[in-house]
Amino acid sequence: MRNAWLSLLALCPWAVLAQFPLGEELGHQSLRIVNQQAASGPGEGHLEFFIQHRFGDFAQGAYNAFGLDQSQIRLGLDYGLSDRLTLGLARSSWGKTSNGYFKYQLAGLRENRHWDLTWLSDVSVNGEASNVWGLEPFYYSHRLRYVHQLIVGRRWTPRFYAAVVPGVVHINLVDAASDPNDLLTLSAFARYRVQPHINLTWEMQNTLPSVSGAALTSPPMALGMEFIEGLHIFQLSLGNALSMNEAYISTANQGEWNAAHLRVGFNIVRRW
Amino acid sequence: MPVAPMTKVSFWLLGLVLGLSSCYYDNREDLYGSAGPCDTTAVSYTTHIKPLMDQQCVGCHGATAPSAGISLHDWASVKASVQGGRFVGSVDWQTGYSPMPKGGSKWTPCQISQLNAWVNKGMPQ
Repeated sequence: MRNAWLSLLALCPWAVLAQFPLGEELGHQSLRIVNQQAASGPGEGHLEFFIQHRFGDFAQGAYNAFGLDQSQIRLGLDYGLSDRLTLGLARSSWGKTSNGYFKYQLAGLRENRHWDLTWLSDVSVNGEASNVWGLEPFYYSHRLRYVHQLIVGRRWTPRFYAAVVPGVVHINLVDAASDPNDLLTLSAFARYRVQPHINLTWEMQNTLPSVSGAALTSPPMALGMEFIEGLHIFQLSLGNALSMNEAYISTANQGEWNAAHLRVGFNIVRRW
Repeated sequence: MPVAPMTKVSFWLLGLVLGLSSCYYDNREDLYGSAGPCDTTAVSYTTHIKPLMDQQCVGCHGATAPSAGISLHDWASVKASVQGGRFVGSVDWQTGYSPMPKGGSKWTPCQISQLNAWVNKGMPQ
């Protein structure tokens, strides 16, 4: 009889929710805002599997179900080697790009501080066939891009968390001789807790025009809503970015911020 | 004094990242495009435009479910798109046009010149 009660208890939502770190600060509730990396990792010994999906833009009209007939996907894994150190791998269909990164939390809310300070280093490898590039001779180094970011986040209230993310993107091969290979970037994100299991999110990325050449005419920005259920997080988003990869998203024009060029997306996260 | 396991891992990771790093400061213009002046004399779809389309456009504007309903997967579809009046302005990032490729860099001046030359010659196959 006791086992039966325990089984029932295990099925009830509160028992399931108790497994997910709801009690944690907003900055640690999921590793991604929409495309932008948050300051936290999954914690020592924990693994996160994530699926990111972006549909086509609304301009595709009714024939293409306003973008739903098209999709870009990104799959990835994050593993916490320690509470501070996270390793990640991902693969995007856009540009057939794979990337690997490490993220080290220099200081953070786990130490009951209001501030998060995290370093992120990422290398991306474009996997498109060399003949697609149309360059002869072709060098493997052309495929590589690097991202380094310092994620500075602050919990302003128990419900509101915001961060700024200065960074640099290194592109091994640019097009014109006048294009810079190193682009300074500045991103920002915020998360607002509406209910215990529901957060609103916002993010944007951009290059710094005065030091990195021309400003983007259509920098990426997204609004999102995340639902935390058990060991899963479901994130719905509306934004203009096609790419989900850190090395590409902040350095190139995306769709304009008007109804025609926005696209719906979602992330599904499962934590072990 | 023994080194803590996490410190060992961190050093290993740092070494891995530095070891895998191979930063170059290359650009297409110097490596491939500046051996001579930009060739706009004998531009054809097969030799000049199609490789560009395959690299820059077909990922979204392919034959199946093309973005915005604009397909650029073959000569006829590119020609139709140019004749539609939005193509060159988008690729050249002209004011009032949606800059293309989305999420990518602007075409090089040589590539845009070759596109214009191809259009001016009647878009030969």
